[in-house]
Amino acid sequence: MKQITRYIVPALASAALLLGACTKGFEKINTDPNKISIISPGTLLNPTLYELAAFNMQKADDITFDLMQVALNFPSPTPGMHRYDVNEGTGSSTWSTYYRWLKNIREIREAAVAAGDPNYAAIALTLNAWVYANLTDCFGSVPMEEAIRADEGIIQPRYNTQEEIYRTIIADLDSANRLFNTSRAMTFGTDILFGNNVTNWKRFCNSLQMRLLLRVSARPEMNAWTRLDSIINNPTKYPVFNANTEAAVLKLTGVYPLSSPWGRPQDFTTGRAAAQFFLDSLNVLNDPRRARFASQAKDLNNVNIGYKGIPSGYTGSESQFNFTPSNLLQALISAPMTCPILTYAEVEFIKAEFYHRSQRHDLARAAYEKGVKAAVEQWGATMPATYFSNASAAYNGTLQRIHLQKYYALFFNDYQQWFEYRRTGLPVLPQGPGMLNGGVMPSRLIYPVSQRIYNLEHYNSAVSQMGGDHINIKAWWQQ
Amino acid sequence: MNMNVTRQATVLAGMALLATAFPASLLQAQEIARPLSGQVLDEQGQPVPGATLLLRKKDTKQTYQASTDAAGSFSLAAVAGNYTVTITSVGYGSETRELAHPAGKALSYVLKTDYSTLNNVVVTALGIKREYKALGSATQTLGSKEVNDARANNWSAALSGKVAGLSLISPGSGPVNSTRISLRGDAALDADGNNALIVIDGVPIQSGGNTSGVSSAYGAGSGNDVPVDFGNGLQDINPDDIESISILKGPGATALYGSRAGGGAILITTKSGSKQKGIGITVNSNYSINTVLKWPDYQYEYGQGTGTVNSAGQLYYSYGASPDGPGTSGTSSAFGPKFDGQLYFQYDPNKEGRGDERTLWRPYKDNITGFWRTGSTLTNNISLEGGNERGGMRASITHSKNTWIMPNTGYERLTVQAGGNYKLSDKLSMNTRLSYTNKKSDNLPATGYNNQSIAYFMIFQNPNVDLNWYRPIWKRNQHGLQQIHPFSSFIDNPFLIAHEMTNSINANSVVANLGFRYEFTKKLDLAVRGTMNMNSEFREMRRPFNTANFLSGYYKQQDVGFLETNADFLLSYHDRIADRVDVKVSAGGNTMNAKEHVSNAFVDGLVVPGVYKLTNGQASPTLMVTDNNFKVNSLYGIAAFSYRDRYFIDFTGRQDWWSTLSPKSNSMFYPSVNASVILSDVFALPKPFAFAKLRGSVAGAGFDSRKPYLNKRYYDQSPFSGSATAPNVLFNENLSPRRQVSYETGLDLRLFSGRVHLDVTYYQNFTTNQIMEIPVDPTTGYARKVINGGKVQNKGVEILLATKNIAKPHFSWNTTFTWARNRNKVLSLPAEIESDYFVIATGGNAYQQTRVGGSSGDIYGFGFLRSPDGQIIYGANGLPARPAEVQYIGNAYADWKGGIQNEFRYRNFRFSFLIDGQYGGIVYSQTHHKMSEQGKLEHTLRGRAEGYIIGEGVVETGPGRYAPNTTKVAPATFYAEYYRRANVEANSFDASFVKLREARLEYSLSKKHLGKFFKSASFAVYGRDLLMLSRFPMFDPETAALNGTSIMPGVEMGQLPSTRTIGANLTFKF
Repeated sequence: MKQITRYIVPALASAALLLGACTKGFEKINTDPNKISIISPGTLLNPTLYELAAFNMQKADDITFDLMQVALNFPSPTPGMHRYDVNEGTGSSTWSTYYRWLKNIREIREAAVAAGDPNYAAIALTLNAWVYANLTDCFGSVPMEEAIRADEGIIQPRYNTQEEIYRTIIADLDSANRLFNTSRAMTFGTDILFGNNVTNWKRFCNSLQMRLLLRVSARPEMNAWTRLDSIINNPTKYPVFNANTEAAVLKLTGVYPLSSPWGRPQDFTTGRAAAQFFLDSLNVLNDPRRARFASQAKDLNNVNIGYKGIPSGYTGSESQFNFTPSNLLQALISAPMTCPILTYAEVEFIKAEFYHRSQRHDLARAAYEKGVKAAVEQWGATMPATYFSNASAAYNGTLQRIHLQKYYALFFNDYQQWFEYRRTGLPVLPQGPGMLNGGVMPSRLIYPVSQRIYNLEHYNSAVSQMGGDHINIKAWWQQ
Repeated sequence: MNMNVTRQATVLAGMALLATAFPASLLQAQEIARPLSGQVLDEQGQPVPGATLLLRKKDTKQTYQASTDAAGSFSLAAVAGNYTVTITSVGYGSETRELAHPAGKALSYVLKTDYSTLNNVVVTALGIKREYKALGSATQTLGSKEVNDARANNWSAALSGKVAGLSLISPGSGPVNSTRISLRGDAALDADGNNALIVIDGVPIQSGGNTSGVSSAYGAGSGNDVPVDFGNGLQDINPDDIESISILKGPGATALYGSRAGGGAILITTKSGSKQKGIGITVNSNYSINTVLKWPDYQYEYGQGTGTVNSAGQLYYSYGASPDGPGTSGTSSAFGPKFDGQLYFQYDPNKEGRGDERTLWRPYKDNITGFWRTGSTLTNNISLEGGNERGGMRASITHSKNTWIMPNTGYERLTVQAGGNYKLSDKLSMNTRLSYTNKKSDNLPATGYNNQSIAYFMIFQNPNVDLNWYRPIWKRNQHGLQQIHPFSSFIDNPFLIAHEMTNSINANSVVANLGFRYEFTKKLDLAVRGTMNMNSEFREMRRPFNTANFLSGYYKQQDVGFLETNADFLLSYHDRIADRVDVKVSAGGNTMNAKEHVSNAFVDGLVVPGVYKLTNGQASPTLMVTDNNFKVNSLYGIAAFSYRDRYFIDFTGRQDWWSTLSPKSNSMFYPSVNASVILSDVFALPKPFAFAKLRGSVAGAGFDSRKPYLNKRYYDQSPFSGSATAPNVLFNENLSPRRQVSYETGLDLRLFSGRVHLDVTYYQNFTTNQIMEIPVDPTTGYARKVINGGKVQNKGVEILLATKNIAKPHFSWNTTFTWARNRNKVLSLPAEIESDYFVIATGGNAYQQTRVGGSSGDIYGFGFLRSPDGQIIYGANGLPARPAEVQYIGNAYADWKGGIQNEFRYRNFRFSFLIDGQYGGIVYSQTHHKMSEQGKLEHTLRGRAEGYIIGEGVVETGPGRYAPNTTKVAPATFYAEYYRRANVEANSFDASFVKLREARLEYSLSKKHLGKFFKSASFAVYGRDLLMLSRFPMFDPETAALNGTSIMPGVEMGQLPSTRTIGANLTFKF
């Protein structure tokens, strides 16, 4: 037993001394040597721009093409989106993706405020308005004020009404316009959208405000027409896009990481046909964009028979179509390619509608023609000199005419065609006999199931305020 | 070493050593070494092969050494005299006998040992050797032959069926095939948290894998690459060097290994130099061939097509448009015309386009099987050992060359190992082991369901397509630019996949330890040890131009560096008090440091085709670096008491400090108590009971996640330079350890003089405060957050029954039977989850989803809608109605697993075979879905002749009213919908199987035939996975999905064929 005192006691004593050292250096070891924990205002900007633009393009493909009769699943034995089969899952990626990047946008703003950089703060406000507008136009009320604040312990955010959201983001865009300082350079990296051209960012901000004002123009309390007037007639204070080169169109060079969102180009065309409505109107216009957008249909002998699509919402077997229909082209989604965010053409069509409303048809015609030309050229087509001599193409003083062309101008631009259709009912779309929902265009997406799981109380109050959680609940600006 | 020819053995009966007393004085003058031979038998009179005998002459201290052959025989030459003989055998410890070797005579001796249960020595936690009877928790020991008899590419595959309670799952991902070994069920809700700890000579081995950079097995359409299984450190252990394996299943044993042994511990002891004089040389050659074990039932009656008919209403075929009609050749479906001797315009490989003439419409029945070849593995091993009474050394060198069944795949491995132990002084001894492994492969197969995996090609290949059409790989004059894939742009050319989409690896790893033991007194000693496990790998992934996911090619370099060091000490005191109480007290500490660095550099888009260099990228290479560093410090102690050698009780305690947890809660103390009673010594049991032991154990344990940096906020990496993205996972600054409490009791019985050994264990464990990532409301700005919570129960029974059916010196027959069942139940989930379920892993449309009251192996997915009497409900369109909610489909875990091994010895022959299998469990098969949807399997022939199928089931005619379904549906439409990907029910199958896992026949040359030169020689032929009975329709029910580093059970995601191995083995000892 002598050994116990001779060896064990000293050993235990030294072990006890070691105890203090047992967590020594842990702080340093448990610090990631690789990932950053502090950002600059520019750190999050490019991934945010790319991911949002790429995602929006995919949603145009998944949702807007089908609802707006651009293209459809073909063959489609099961209902499919072109027959208005909107279910609980349809909006779930829109919801989660938008909030994910809204989180990044919030952090850009916080970093800009911390760095005292007004330009990045204004960019963050612009992007925030862009995403929230799309989000609320898809769903209605959505969490905004209390959203993205898990860091502060808010895990069940309250929903804001669409009106609250629009009032906030329009005001934000106004402040952002004032914040932009075009004489101050953007110094935190090079942004992939405008290459640090602050003026273009500012144009984007104001062009976006035009889009949002037009969207809510049916709500008299928003005073949208007056506000639009002050923007359109005050280009010095509110510069907007004047050319395709200035527009918010993300160019994907194909040089990684600016790759096409479509990993396999054939996924874009497989099981898909162009819609009859989309091609028929282009055929009438003899539009040069046809060859940019679609392939020619072929008869059973494999001979080209021109641009011919499949009617949306058809019933019966595919064998009734005794031709191989036109399809959208893989070139649209093969880099180099473009991701429209907010185009110059849209700005002109907003102006056209503004002038049309105030009966200044000369100005409306000019804006309309600029819009059409910009929209044609945006896809690399050449504007035929005789385009407007076609009676179907010339400005005829109707909103229907403006909106048919705006529909093509908004091609592949997230949900914009659908939002505009909900606002104006234009262009007039044919109804297929197989359409569900009584052939009525869905007015919104259903909240994702996650809301009933995680945030039931606020979900319920939002739903009761809106009058339900189904696809026919109209947006506030539709009412 | 002197050799001698054994004389005729005189079998002498009796206890212990039969020593004939010869007067020592007669022998004094003789100094000439004379033959001495005999046989070592165990308690039941069976030969003990592989035992080492150390003879020590009593007067001169001169020593001799010998070892026994397969028949337990030994021979040597020694001068006459009186000797003490120490007989040492793996897993048994050593015993000492006395022996007199008279002059002038050549006698043969029988050394009968007590080798049985009582003195078995088991290597337990921290390398502490304990007597088997003192253990309070279940352990199982395997010898070298268990892993070498019927070799697998990954030695761990040989554990299958031999250890009760061991579960081995593997994605079946090629020649280096990572495996996940777990013991006693999945306790953690973290998909990676259930691996058993593997310790080789005290050095913990990394058992997780390194991902090739892709985390999802289902990747088609994502534009991503595929996961590649580069193997893990486990696979690099050379089975030739393994002496024994201890499997510590019980909580008491793992309590001392702490957090890493959450899934149990497997301790491997490698061979070390024996204390023999002269050199012992062993040469071992092993050659095996691999063929595909089982093929799915491919149909070769109908060719390519989607059911398109011509103007005459007939199914027809046309490669591209032709006078016969529009092209039908773009599809991967095989719902086209029957092979009826008709002629169609088809692909002409010479024209690389449509043939000018119609040619015979015929199947090519070997167009999938013909792609595969016979694989082979040649392994050569030489080991040298030697020593003296102070110690010994052993060195071995092993080379393996594998060519796998897929063309242009395989690996080469070289392992050099050296180790030894030496008594530096009377008090100080030293031991060390160093092993170096180089593993090289030019190409390992990609796994999963994506264009670059060969599994994808096998699914998409059509019956009317000749495999040879693909052989030139590239179109004429478009080498490197345009591949030949004439049918669907979705499938990449299989030879392009095999020869140009390569995944190479060059890995160098070093496992080393160095230990000293100082004996202060006979009762007190101190052991200190340092260990190191280092791995450095260089991998390259090449993707040529014009492939589905990489139109202009892709090249990735991956550098993986891993280093883990451990330093520990153990102070042990041993004393006997009052002659009846034995006390062993040990106290020790360990500090573990792990550093992992993975750097991925890639270029997506190459400038010059076929040049795989980072400088050939269209853009600057993108670099993504991951570091994982962590440290665990521990202090622990064990106090073991025994009373009269029949009552045993141990107390252990361990305190861990983990760097990965919150500073506020990063340490934990956990104790264990283990007790055993030798009933046969305490009570007078009936005669058949030779030995009976009752044991019990209660233990706590704490675990960290082994994932660092979870308690701080970091931005995620982005491929955009100078960029990052806001974290998607909300960190947790209060992260605390996962806890486990385990209970175990067992009974060990030896009946009929030890000829029947029955060991039954019942256990239960509760795992709480799990570290898990749960999904959160996206509106919070995060997708998931890290929390502590949840409670999982595992309980089960393990049975080991070993019988010595026949035990004669020249004929014996032993049977070993193992059986285990585990029930896994989730008792609670964290309240923060909000939803009533938690998704552990996702494979395609199958979810490993757990709910309270369910199991962590539950697979959920969409199924069929069924009427109250269980019939499938069809819609008005004649297709199965789709349910709105996912449902429970089945459990990935087997109800039970078992194995039965028989071993026969007859003179110099040894024959053994192992049958093992499992009952229950399901596998969701992506391959089955796709091949059914595409009409590639025989079961899709139904309805083709008629041109329609009426699904068996009902239609709903009103609320609660049903009528039989009568709607006819075209076969292509029917199968596509019935077996749609999301229909997990239709594509899931019973995973029960029985396999003839191993069979082996060995012949050992007897001493008299060996000649002077050889000590022993044996030749064996063996087979592995020879036969399989299973209802699983694809290759093999033993499969899993490889999601990056995680192996997801119950899901098959683009399976590669599994193999049948037949081999031969030749061993010589000099």
